[in-house]
Amino acid sequence: MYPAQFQYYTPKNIGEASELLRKHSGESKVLAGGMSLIPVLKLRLTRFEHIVDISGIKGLADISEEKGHIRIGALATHGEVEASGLIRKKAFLMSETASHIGDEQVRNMGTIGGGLCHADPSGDWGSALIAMRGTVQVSSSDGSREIRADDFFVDSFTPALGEDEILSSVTIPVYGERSSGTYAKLERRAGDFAVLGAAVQLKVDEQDVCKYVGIGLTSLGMTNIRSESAEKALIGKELTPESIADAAESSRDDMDPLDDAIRGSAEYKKEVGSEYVKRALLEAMNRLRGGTK
Amino acid sequence: MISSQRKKRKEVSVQKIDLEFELNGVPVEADVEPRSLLAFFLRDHLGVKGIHVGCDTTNCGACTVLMDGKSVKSCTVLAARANGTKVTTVEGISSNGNLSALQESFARNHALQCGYCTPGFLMSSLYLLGKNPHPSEEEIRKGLAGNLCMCTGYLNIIKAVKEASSSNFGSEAGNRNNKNSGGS
Amino acid sequence: MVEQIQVTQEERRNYIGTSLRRVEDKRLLTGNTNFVEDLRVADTVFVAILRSPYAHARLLKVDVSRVRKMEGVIEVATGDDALKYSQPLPPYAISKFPSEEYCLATKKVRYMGEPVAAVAAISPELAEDALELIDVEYEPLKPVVDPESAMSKDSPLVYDSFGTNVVGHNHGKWGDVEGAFKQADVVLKKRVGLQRYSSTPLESVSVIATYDDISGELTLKSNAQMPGHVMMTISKIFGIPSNSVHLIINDIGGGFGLKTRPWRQLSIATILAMKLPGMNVKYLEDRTEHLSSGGQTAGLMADIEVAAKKDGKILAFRFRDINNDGASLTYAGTYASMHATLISGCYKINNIEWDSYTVLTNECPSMPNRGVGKPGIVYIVERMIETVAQELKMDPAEIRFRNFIQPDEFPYVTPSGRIYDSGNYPAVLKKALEVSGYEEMKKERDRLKEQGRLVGIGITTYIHGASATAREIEGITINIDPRGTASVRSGSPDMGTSHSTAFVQIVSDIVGMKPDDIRVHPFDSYYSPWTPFSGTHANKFSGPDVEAAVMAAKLLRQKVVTNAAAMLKTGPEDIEVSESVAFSKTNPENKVTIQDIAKATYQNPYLVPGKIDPGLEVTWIGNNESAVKAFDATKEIETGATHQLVTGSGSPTGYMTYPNSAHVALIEVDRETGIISILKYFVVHDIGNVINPQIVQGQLHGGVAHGIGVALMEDFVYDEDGQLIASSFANYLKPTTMEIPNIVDDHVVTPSPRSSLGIKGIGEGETFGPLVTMCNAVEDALSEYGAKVSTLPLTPEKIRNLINRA
Repeated sequence: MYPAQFQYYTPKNIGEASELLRKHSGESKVLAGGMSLIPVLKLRLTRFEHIVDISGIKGLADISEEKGHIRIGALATHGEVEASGLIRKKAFLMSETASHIGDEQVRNMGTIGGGLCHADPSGDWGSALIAMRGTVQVSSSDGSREIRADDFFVDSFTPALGEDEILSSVTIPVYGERSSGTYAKLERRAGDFAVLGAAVQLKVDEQDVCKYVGIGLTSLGMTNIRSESAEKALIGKELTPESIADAAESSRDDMDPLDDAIRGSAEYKKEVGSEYVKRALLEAMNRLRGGTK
Repeated sequence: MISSQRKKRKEVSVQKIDLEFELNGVPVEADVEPRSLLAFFLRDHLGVKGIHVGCDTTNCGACTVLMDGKSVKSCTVLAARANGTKVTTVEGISSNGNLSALQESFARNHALQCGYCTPGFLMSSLYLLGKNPHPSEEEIRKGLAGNLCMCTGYLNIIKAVKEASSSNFGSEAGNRNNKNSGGS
Repeated sequence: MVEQIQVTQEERRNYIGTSLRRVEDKRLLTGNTNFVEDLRVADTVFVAILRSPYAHARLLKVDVSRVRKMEGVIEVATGDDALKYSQPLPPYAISKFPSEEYCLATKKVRYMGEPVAAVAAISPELAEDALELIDVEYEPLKPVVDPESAMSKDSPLVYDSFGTNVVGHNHGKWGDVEGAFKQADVVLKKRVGLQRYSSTPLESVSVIATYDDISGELTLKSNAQMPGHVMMTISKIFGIPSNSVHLIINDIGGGFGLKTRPWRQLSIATILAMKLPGMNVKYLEDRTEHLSSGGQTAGLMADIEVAAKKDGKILAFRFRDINNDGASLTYAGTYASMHATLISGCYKINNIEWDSYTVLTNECPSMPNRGVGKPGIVYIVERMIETVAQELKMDPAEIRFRNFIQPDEFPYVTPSGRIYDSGNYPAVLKKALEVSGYEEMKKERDRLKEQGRLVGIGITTYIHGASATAREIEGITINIDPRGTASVRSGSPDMGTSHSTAFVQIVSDIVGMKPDDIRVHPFDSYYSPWTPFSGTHANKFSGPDVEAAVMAAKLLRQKVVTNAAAMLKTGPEDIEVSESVAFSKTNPENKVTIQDIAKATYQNPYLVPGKIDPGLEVTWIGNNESAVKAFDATKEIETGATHQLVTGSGSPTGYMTYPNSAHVALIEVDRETGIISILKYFVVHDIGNVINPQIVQGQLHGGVAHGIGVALMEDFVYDEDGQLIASSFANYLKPTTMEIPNIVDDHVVTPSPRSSLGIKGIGEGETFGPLVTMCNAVEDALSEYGAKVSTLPLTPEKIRNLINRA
């Protein structure tokens, strides 16, 4: 299996890359790690005349902390996110999500920016980003803007990017003391696409009352989606197994998954999806109580 | 008896990309088509046999090589990406026909049958042991989950990696990875 | 002459029975391999194949005019070329219908992935590009997907001229089935099914074909696993004399049956080679091609009715099975007919009625896969006995003990006329219960169940059927050259199966040579002996191949001993040979190396005049007599029984040996998700004597792992339009390191009297166990729901539905 021919560019900066995308509008695609793009090119399920490889752009893989946020460069690989001590300490959900993506080799090549821009409803990053209420920074030769996680996923495989825009970084708030997060992913076998997944970020006050909750869902809608019903059910409530069970139950209302002949019917996914929301919330609660993460 | 059709074998003109990289410690210069994939380029053009393509969809890991010390599935990496890197294949892990400690352990533990997946498993194991010289069984299982084997049922592979790690092997792998890491 | 040779092997077993390190490994570990894709030769053109996107369509037009003009394209082949150059692909088992299938589709396409046209280009990339310039017009037809509806009168037909999709029907009736049902305390019905699956060798089929139009020679460098069958068939399809088919088989990246009959792949490459004489035509099948068209198992659906007494004794059963062999006659019928070979498993059940249908559908052609129909019949018999145990609330081990064929009943003639060689089924199960700590395990299960966890135990005991049929003889040549090193050539290629190591062990011990002095060469039809059956299939190595090796080695030893005796001036009875040295038993200092014997023998061809042929080479083609006699007896019984092969699907398959196993597993089901975790897995088997314990254990691990894959996830899912959903490893799910549990294994040894080494086969059998074991364990885990499993794989959703429905 080989991709169809394409012209290949290695721009040195985002401006150059953006110019190339604009010049070859509709016929070009950004290549980062390639773990999603190259297989579909090889299977010839899609093709582009022009491939703009941004992997050589300097400074796009940095991970840093700034003003209560963590910024992750778009070219940081899943493996680099997983291995980052900073992220492990201050945004554990991101670290755990990274560890669930693909396998070692895929995590060594695939990037957080590439994963998000692929906008696969079974992608893992989108759920974590939604749960953490993160944002992405996108740039073109005209300048930069910021897009909230909730606004980024327009439709399946359709991110809210202009044709000449490039995702340059991801920003995650640091939830600090008394916060924890977890990603619960159901797979048929290791490294498979998610049957479904639930990313959860929690923060509580000293009375264990939920001050922040973010719940992002994988493979349970046309895109990664937020479970607003479950968040609403939990916010301001004391974190208990009962309140969590209620919230998880209501998460079902937000789910609208597709049937998958390999991984399960929509009905199955909804049923188990709410169970996974519950498990993720319970795990996050337990981690809070255990004082870790 | 040679077919007249051979005359039609003229080159088809496409964009070419100049490549310079190090393959198993040896500098390589070549030009490739943009769409050329690292696995096929190494195998079909440079004659590296220790790369197999079992799935084409990043599921099987038979094409695993180290690129700047990191394991990657070379059937899903453009050859152009190798520019400026250090690539290690299974050909680069034994010297003068002597098996490395890891290869020895694979042989001793009968961790291979048909051998088609074996180079990929060796490269994944090497990467794992470089990162984590003394992995637990669970860590080995997780580290090798990106490689499929249809013959062995994995148990002897896991055992072989475990045994290699409890020898002095871990530090060897670490050194090798660092040596090839190109400072990344 | 052969009977006169007395080699008392018991005296010296330096290698047989030991875990000699594999001679194959060093090359494989260093990447220094010769898989077809590794072979780079000048003047190579690369093949890409255009395949049908439809499951069923009339082929109205295949226009290659545009692609012929494309730069880099050298040659094109279509169905018209197939008609011109080749014969239809021959059916293996069913002769009632004429084959209409060519390697490239002619009038119709009959499954998604069927080859329609092929391109040879100067690079593989350009060959794939070129496919886009072939213009094909299809008229889509309604596909036949469900095998049961395929049997109805108004179903669309896969082959119009056949007038039916039912191409095979077997019926057998043994004993007094009606009478037995009348005496039953319980009569139970059960429907069971197996999905279509594959062991998916990690290397797909590959070939380099070269045709010399002056000499008429066709060279095929391929990874086919049955060279004898390839030689016979390719010669026939292309009308090339078989002595001009030069088949070379180097490394094979796993076979499992999928490389026994690569007619389509080899034929397409051959047609292009014939159109391009002198060029090397290289075709590497990719994964999607292999999954969609390289072959799958036949799907199975069976309705069983069983009669039993209250004490658990099975009196009789009848079953009707439907086998979905896909869109081709090439292997159709064999899955079904294999059910007769192990029809009552390891149990003494004499009253059986079997009604079996082979049905064609618009799915991928069936292909042999690790055991062919044996997993199916094991699944049927074992799920049946489990159902009876559950109904009678009897321990699943106990019901098996009550029905076993007893150790003193061998050779045991089954109702369908097969003759089991030997076995001790109670001992195997008993050991499995000990090794697994069964009694403790039951307590643990009950304790965990009380805590609300869904934990279950599964047990299975079954027969494999191994070492091929005794008449599938193999050829082997052993030669000691003038420098004293030995070469072994055979028609039995190594495909990960460690044949080379095992041959080295046998030749080492019997001839008396150092393993390092022996080399096993790859198959080359110009130099290796072959028979119509030559190949690696049906656990054949442990039968005919080993017998041929033993016999050839004994004959070679006789030559070595005779020459040594002359050189050492003593009698042959005084000669011992070990580690490449022959010496006098009475005076061990009186010795000569094999190297010197070889030197002397080649320099003086009549060193021992009149006693033996000159030279140190032996070719033996055959099997041992007792095995062949047992096989022939099978035939006689079959003819005398009421068993009718109504449409002649399949020949009698009396296996040479009958190994057996017991599997025990402890599993847990996640109540909310339906996910199964395997907590413990045990296997005890009896494969008689063992040549190399480490290799046997490796095959056991691999077999169980594949069985677990089939039980839990593997499934060629087709949609109602006949589109294959599971067409890559992204959707055809294979287990990884994370899903395969540690396996504890042990064994019982009941040597096979039909094997001169007392061995039985191991390659296929351990794949069957998990299919049943996992079902039994799930039903045990879900006993509170009374859940019954009928089909595989046990997907989380299927399990969850069982819980929900209850």
